[in-house]
Amino acid sequence: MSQSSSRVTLAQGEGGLAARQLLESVFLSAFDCPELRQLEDQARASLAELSLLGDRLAFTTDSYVVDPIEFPGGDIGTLAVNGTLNDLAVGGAIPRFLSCGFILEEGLELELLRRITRSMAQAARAAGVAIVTGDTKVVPRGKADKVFINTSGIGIIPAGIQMAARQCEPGDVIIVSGTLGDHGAAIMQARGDLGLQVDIASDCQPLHELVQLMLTASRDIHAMRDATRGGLATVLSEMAGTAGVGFQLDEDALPIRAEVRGVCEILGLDPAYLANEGMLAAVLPESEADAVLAAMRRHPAGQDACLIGRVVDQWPGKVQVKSRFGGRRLLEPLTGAQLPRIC
Amino acid sequence: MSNSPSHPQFVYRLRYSGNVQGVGFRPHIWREASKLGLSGEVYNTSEGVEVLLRASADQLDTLLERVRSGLPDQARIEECDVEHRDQLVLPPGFHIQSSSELGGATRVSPDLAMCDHCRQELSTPGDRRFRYPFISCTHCGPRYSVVRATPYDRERTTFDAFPMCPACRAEYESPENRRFHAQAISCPDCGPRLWLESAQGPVVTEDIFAHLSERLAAGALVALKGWGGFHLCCDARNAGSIDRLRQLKQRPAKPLAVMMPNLEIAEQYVRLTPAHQRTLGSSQAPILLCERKPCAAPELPASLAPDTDELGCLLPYTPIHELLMQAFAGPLVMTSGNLSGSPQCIDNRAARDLLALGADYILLHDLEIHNRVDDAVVRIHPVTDRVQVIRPGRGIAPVHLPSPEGFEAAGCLLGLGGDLKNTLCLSTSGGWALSPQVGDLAELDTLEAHQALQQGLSQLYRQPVEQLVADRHPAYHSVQQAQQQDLPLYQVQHHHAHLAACLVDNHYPLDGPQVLALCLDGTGYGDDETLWGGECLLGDYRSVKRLAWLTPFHLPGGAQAIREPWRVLVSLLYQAGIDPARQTERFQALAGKPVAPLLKMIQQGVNAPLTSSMGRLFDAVAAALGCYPNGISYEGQAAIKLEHLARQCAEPVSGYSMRWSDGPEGLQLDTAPLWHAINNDMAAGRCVQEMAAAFHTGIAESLLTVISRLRQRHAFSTVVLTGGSFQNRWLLAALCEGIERQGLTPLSHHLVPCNDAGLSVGQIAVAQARLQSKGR
Ligand SMILES: [Fe+3]
Ligand SMILES: [Mg+2]
Ligand SMILES: [Zn+2]
Ligand SMILES: [Zn+2]
Repeated sequence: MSQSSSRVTLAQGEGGLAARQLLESVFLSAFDCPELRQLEDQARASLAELSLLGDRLAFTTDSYVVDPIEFPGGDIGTLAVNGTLNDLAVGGAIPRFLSCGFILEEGLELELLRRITRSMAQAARAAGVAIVTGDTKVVPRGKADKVFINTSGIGIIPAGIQMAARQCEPGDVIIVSGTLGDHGAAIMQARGDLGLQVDIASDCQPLHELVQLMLTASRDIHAMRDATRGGLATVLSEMAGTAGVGFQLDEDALPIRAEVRGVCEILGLDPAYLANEGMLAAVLPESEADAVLAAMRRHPAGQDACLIGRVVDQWPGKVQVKSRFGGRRLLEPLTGAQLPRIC
Repeated sequence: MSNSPSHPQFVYRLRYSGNVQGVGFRPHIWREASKLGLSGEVYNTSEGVEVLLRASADQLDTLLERVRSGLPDQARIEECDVEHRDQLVLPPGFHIQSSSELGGATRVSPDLAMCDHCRQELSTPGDRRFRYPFISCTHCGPRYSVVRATPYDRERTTFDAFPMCPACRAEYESPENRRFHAQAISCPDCGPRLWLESAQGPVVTEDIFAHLSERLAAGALVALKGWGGFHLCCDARNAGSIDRLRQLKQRPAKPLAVMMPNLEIAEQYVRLTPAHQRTLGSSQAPILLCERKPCAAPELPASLAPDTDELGCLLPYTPIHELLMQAFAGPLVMTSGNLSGSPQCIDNRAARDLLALGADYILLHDLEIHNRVDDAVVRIHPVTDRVQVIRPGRGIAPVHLPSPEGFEAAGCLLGLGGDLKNTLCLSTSGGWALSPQVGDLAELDTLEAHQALQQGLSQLYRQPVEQLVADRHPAYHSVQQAQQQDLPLYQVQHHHAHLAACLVDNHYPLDGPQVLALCLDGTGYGDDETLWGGECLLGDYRSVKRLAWLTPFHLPGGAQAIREPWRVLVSLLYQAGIDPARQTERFQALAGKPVAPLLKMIQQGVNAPLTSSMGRLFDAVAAALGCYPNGISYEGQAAIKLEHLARQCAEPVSGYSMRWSDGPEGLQLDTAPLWHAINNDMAAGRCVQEMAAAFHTGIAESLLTVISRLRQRHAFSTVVLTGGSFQNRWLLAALCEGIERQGLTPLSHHLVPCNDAGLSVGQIAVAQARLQSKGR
């Protein structure tokens, strides 16, 4: 095989034979499913079948750019599947279908692309969803960084499930399903050029099964979010702002892996602001917490689930952290560049 | 003088402003007017004190003169405005009226240390107030800490909970009495009550102070309620108690203040010049930083202030402290009763938490503290010999500053200060009022206190705030909170505010010629979105231009680099072309540190913001000399230690040289030669004291060089020395003297702190100067 045929070419983005080849050799073989095999311009689904699962459709989209593309615990492909699945999952939806759009940089190694699509297919299969439609574009060298992926997802929300941030109220407690910042820290250290010698894997994983387990344990979960970009601090700030209540976290209760803590110490970063890709935060009445936590710990994605704080009246819209010695500080949402305030 | 028709009488209205309330000013007027046989009345207003009287022109002159010449100790007249009033009829006799309600602002007196008269009565058996812990008079006692609103009258203080007994009432109403209209008058029959508690509940004892003194001598930790809040105290000679106290406060190394029973005992431990003695014994009774006597006998444990040759001393200023000190007769650690980072406790319930955390006793009383106020911290200026405020607090704050010439009374502005050493400053019609220091706004308790004080100041001075002024740092809590308020917000660059604060402190007129300012501090948000801190700015209240600065360097880890000075050492060595990874044996602070990842962070710009900070340069040099390899535990610790080392150097040494290089935007100080010299000296095993001195000398020389270079290109004759780095006595003295040698005038800080506690003043000055020039 010549050098050029092992890499993505501009011609493969222009339709025609080259594009067809790429489609068949890479995507169709990986994502094979009845909907895709039709090769129509759209996937079709039976409403009757879907309506057996619930009474509302959930629909979401997200784009994925990550450097490096492959990292311990996953790659851009698993991220693109699980990220969109989790956006559906935290609304209580059972995910069914995904679409995917690729933007490829000219010269991308085909083998890398195959690895990514294989891991996407694997992630989708593991989660029980199908990638039913897609698209590919190739842009000239330098106009994109290797590969960008967009995925959209459709899921079904079972009847009676009603989760929304505005339902958070004082007296509720806040729980998380796992440790903080694993994905962000994994990416940092996978960028090898920082020379951090630590063993951290991304927590990239689907959460919909875990969510369904939680909902089985209690229908009274008020709100749920997956802690992705900006980390737990950012996600909780958004929720507190929407609900108009304060969140008070207990610093000692925040689950953080020693390795993540170590990396954060060197970099001077707060794990609460580092991204996760398979961790959620939920707000629910205190009376439900034990049952929900017990249910979560029965699932691999919820092994480290724990209670981290409560909803309070003070400082509406803000997240505060209480230290071991009783001091409290605010976890403000990020404001661009992080410059020290200390004079 | 007579009332004959040849000397016709008129009715006059006198309006006094200045420090004229709560200081015995009305009784003073009453006495002088009564002696002259004049009829009329005197009363407090929210602007000051007003007098209505019938007098001849001669009588008026005599009265004005006598009022001025015989002022009570604490009273200061700023202005006296005399106005003719024809039609008014006055009842016979001269009266002190309760206060008149008027708009406008007045001053709120800081708390005043117990006066000698009261001290005398306190220890006179048979006196009504013998050993009474709340004795006070018109010359002394709590003021700011107990006042809810102005004018300062008893019903607007927390003493309103204690109705006067007939004996006190009689004194209060008798113009001849020292307690005539003393708003905080009380006695054992009618005043607040004092009691002692331990974790087991109230402690019943015949003599609280004898008991406490015994327990303190045995090593106890005591929380003690004073005027502006709680103190934590223990025997300053007992290293074990000091350790426990540090544990309780989570404060491993920050210096602790020591209360001395009297000047004589203080003198055994620290050097006292006449200025020191005057300051310690003044009615402000601040914590005064004094030089420790090197081989004092008896000796105090080094753990009181492990990083410095200075010791903060104060004398008893409330009768409570006085009674305790009389019983104990030795030095007591007297530090604010709070947990690390949180503001000082002011209410009894919160103070009981201190018991749970390890205090053995709490001494409580039932007088409510309305305004929290920590003790002021001051120093004697190494060159001017005047008092220099480092932390505005009890005894000094609120600090009232006349607005300099050219500033017109504008609407009411509130300066929100910086995030560390936070203070507020309110502009009132009569000038500016700087609040006591609130603390670090990253602590939520402190941020809440900051917000409460915004309300409190506005109420106290009866000024509805029209405009907020804050720093430009987007992540400052003060800024983020201000953005959520429904008031216009004006933002002032950090170092411009430092410059303006120094100008205000020196009464520099609004339209005075431009000055050169050395703004040296930790870090402040700069106009180019990097962190400034080693800047030469040229300008005035309205605007500044950045002429010279330290060559920017990276802070790997952001705020973490401030807590861990060795990180800055890595950065500066690297910048100087010295590979820090190969120097971990030479620089012990780098041993076992993740130097390689830090270098990569710098090279790749991962959380490694740029700064031109002088404070961080000091930190890095301290780290190079082996200080704090595990990080610092309080702000400024490394720089304080470095100065301490330099002072231990017996011989004068020549300074490390550095190089100013001309860039397109301005002059930049390249510290590479410094680092090569330090690297060589470390290799040669030179003593760290000498190196610290060579660094101080080198920095001072470099700064003096840039001043003379800039002078060739720009017109200025005044050099402002501002920013927290000027708490360094060596730097301050060297620059003041060097600038004078160049025939220029140095301006440094006295009443307004050079550190971030002064920012709120500068913010108001800049905002008002700009608003005024816009209006024109
Ligand atoms: Fe500053
Ligand atoms: Mg998303
Ligand atoms: Zn007195
Ligand atoms: Zn009485």
